[in-house]
Amino acid sequence: MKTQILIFVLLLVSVMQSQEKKVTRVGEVTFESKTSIEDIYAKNSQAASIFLLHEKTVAFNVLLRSFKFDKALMQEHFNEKYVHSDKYPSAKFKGVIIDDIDLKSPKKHSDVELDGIMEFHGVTKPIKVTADIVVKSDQSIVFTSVFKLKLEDYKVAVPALMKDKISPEIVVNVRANYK
Amino acid sequence: MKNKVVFGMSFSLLILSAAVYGICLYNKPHIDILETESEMKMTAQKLMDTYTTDKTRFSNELVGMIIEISGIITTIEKGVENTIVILDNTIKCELNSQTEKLKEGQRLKVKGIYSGFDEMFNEISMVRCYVIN
Repeated sequence: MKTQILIFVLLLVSVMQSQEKKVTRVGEVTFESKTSIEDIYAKNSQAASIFLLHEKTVAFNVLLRSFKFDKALMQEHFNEKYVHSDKYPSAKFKGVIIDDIDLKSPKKHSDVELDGIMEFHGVTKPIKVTADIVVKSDQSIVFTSVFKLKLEDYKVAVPALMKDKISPEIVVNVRANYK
Repeated sequence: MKNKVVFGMSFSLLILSAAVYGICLYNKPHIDILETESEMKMTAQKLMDTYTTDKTRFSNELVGMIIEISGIITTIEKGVENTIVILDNTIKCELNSQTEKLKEGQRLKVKGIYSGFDEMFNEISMVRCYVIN
């Protein structure tokens, strides 16, 4: 009898844990830099992310070499000359939702604030972002966010010759659909 | 006078060649994975075992390498434009091709480019993968 109760409790804990944690490996992260001379756009469609519902915490791990550019040369330069992805292979974000929102009932929560930490190019900085969070009836969650990153803040050096072609501030779009 | 003309023409040709080279370089296409010989062929588990023996060394050596991997599909996750297939719980392959027929438990061989190690799920990541079996 004791064994049966133990198995039941373990199963219950396991089910509860799976409900509390949602993951995706197909998160989309794009960034763009727009200047009068050149627009640069890259997309990563395999961002890994975990959403801990009870802690209201989201975490992303984005491999820089998984960003795809239209032009092969831009992709090479991005990895080798700007973000040095051999040395700093990924960008990481971890954020906690400040707002008091219910992540269990179907609803769209707009402009939700997150207090987070961004690790990119060997620099770790606190960052505040806003996101739209949609809780669907099947309990899946869609997380979208748009924010800006200053290259200077993360010690990404742009050569003088390229200053007119690369914006000092890039726009980052994030979309994750947690099942 | 003749020397000046020759010099002028040579200089113009040099500038033109440099411009053409620059444009070609700027617009060079991405590597054709299917047409390029794989630099490494192994099972998913063997690749992970090799990688974990010396993470620092292999993460640098494998960068940009075209690798052929075989294994059993343990997870399939569909994105908006892509599909992620996990082989033997160790290698994450991003496929762009049609994947409707793929099923978990199926043996699969893919060819793609190594893009790093995902510390969140402890998986080796491959991009631009193609199913080759």
